Amino acid sequence: MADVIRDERSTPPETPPESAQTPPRPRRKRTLWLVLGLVAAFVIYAYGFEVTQVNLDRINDATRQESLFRVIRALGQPDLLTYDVAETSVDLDYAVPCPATGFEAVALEGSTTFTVEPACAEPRSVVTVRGDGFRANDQVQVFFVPPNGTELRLENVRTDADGAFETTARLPARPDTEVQTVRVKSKLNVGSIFSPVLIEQPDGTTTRSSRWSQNAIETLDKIIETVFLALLATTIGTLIAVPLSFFAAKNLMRDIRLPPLQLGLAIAGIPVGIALGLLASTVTNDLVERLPDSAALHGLVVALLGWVTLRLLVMAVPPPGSEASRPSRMAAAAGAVVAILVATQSLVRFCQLGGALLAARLGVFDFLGDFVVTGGEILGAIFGLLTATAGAGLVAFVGSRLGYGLGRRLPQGLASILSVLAAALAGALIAVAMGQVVAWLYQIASPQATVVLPGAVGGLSGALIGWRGLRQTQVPIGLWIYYVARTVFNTLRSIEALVLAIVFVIWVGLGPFAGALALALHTIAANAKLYSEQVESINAGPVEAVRATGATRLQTVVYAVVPQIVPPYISFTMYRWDINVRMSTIIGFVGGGGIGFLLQQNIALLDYRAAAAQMLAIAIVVATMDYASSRLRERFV
Amino acid sequence: MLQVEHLTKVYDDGTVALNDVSFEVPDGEFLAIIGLSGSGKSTLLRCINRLVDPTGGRITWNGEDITAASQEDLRKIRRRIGMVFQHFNLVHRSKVMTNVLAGRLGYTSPALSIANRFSKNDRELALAQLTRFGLEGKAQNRSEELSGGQQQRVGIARAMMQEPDMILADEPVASLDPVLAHSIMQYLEDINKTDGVTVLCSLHFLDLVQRYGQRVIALNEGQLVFEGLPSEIDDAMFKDIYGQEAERVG
Repeated sequence: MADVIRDERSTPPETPPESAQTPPRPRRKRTLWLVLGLVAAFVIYAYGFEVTQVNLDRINDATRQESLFRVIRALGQPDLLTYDVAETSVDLDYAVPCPATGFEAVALEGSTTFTVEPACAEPRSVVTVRGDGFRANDQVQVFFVPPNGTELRLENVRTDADGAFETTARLPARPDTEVQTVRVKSKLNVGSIFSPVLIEQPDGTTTRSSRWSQNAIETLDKIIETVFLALLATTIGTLIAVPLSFFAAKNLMRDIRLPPLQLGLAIAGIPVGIALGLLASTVTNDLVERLPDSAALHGLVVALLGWVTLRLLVMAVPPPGSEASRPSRMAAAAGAVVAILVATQSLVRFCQLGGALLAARLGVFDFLGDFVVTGGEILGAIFGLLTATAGAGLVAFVGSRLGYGLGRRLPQGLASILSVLAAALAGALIAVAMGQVVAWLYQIASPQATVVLPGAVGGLSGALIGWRGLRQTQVPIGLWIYYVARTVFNTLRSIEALVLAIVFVIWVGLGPFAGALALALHTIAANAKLYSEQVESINAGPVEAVRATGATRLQTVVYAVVPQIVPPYISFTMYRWDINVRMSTIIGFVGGGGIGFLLQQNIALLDYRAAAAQMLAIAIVVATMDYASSRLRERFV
Repeated sequence: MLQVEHLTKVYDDGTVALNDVSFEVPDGEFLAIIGLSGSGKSTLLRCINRLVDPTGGRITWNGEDITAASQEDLRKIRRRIGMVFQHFNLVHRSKVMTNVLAGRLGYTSPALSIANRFSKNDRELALAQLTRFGLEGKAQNRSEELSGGQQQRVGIARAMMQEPDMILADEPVASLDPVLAHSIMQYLEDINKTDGVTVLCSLHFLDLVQRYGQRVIALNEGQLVFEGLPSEIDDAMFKDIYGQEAERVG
């Protein structure tokens, strides 16, 4: 029975009988494709080996292996501790080249001795050094010391169990008529990390004979900087990425459509709103500027206006049930806006003045005061941006409402004409704005090309879109925003944080600030995309259900979307912090601060033991972060 | 009175979900909608509150044209129409109380509701609804902790929070076992009888249709193929609706 069914499937009844002979052909074809595929793979990998210069000889080369082992051994002994060292040094007179009169070295006395054979030699000749009476199984160094006193190291040797050694060394090209010196040194650490010896210094203080090395202290300093750099970048990036991510979620944006009249008036409102917002920022700034520079006064203003704002907000948005007239609510809302503006300007000054006072009194903890000052400065710096954005949003909203009202009240024909005009205006505005960007970028100083032409083209296309939108009744503005947001995020995300760091180093100079900004920007782009994908993958059912209750779009997002995305958002944020810690360890390679700076420096100086300390620190921090973030994710998700 | 005239919905991919469907539902009626999966039942219900925008035809409700309503008017219409879903469509991670209160969002000022502030009346109403549907003491549970039958009752409570004049129930019992199905249907019947709410309910099982429906419409491939009393569906009619190969299972 099963066979019959299978037969029916492989040869449907309507297939002509000739097909019965065809089955071998697909098989032969498949074999041919397989062979071709294998040949192609062979060629591809052969070329890959060619361009990546795969070379076994180099891997097996003895001197290269020796270098590798030296590095690995150094990495195994990270430079973390430093010891006071007791040094034994034995000198032997030597002549390079041999004087015509001949030269006889004075034999060394004492138990710790060495000889060099021959007693004098030409530059660059190989001599044999034999020593005796040194500490057993110890590292000793053989130097050549010309008359100027510079120690030129010839060899490192290990002594045998009896304290004797023998080695050959090539003399340097330092011929001199004066008597020169061959020196053998051995070093002994005083005490150990487990049994340190206290040493009295000439200035009366005592130090431990073994202690953290300078490198260890610097490593600790920089690894802390690294962790906080990552924390800051993640926080800033997340704060900006979360709201932006909603604009890049197709399921939320797809349904946002506006009639051309509403959309046109909303876009036309944006420049007006920006101007009004900037004006509000300047006016309130001038107003607050007149107040005396007193932290207490500004604190009082902030507290007072904060309270007033709250009262006004309650009046503007009355609790359900209470009946407040529309004009009084509007007035309260307007009052609240003014109060917020003035209060924020005052808060900026309060932070700057109060923070400075705080910093002056806190001593070691003055960074807390500095933080308040900087916070105030940042708020002051972005205040204009915030008011401009808010103004643009507000006036655009008013424009859209106006369009809605006009669309309902005006007769059809007039509304259509207005729609096309509004769309043309919006198109012209957008095109002129783009023209200005191009003009700035390429430094074109021709208003003809950057204002008139784009204005005309934009106006025309706007009118066309408006006209087309009239027939469809709606313009899919949500989808447009979605595509723009996605494109921007994808472009930004494709630029590695390391490359961004180079740009920021040019802007704000070397140091961790540039690194933090680069990582923050990368975090915005990467996480906005990841977050928006989470929004797109939510269960659509609850969204539909909340929409069906008559909720507004914003209410739907808050009640049906946000609860579903909290766990993945937390998870992605933790993961991003983890990534940022790892990234910030190398961002220093390009001057972006953090431990990478030390690491790169030490590698360049061939100080592998110091570099090993930094690698160790990175490994510890990354492993800890990895563990902590996975634990936290488990808890939240 | 709900009037559906020549309603047509063609999806973007060309699927004709509804083809010239016309019928009327008097206020206070319990109308059952039957048809195979994919016959257009869900699309029909979603066209009535415009979760899906129809491509042709007209829906008027008490003289108001739903199909021509602006977004603003649509929200006001939607809040008078409750909806109950096959998969309950609760927000799993939110509390039962929050899910029920969500039914009140259409009446609440957006600014306050975003801060999760509802009036005392709304909260009392929500508790009353929970009690009515046998969910006392579950208000603070996460809704994912509830059983299927309980979740559907939360869904009904959410719809009733809207103080609706009409409820659209999209296969409300298709994911529940037969015993629970009857209990949910009895709640809907009670809402219809006691509160005088018009109910449009799509159903799979004919015995449920005959037990609860006052009138039946049947859809097949987007077309209205039957309109009448449940008792009028005999075997011949059944095969017309469900196709010649169909067997009655209940």
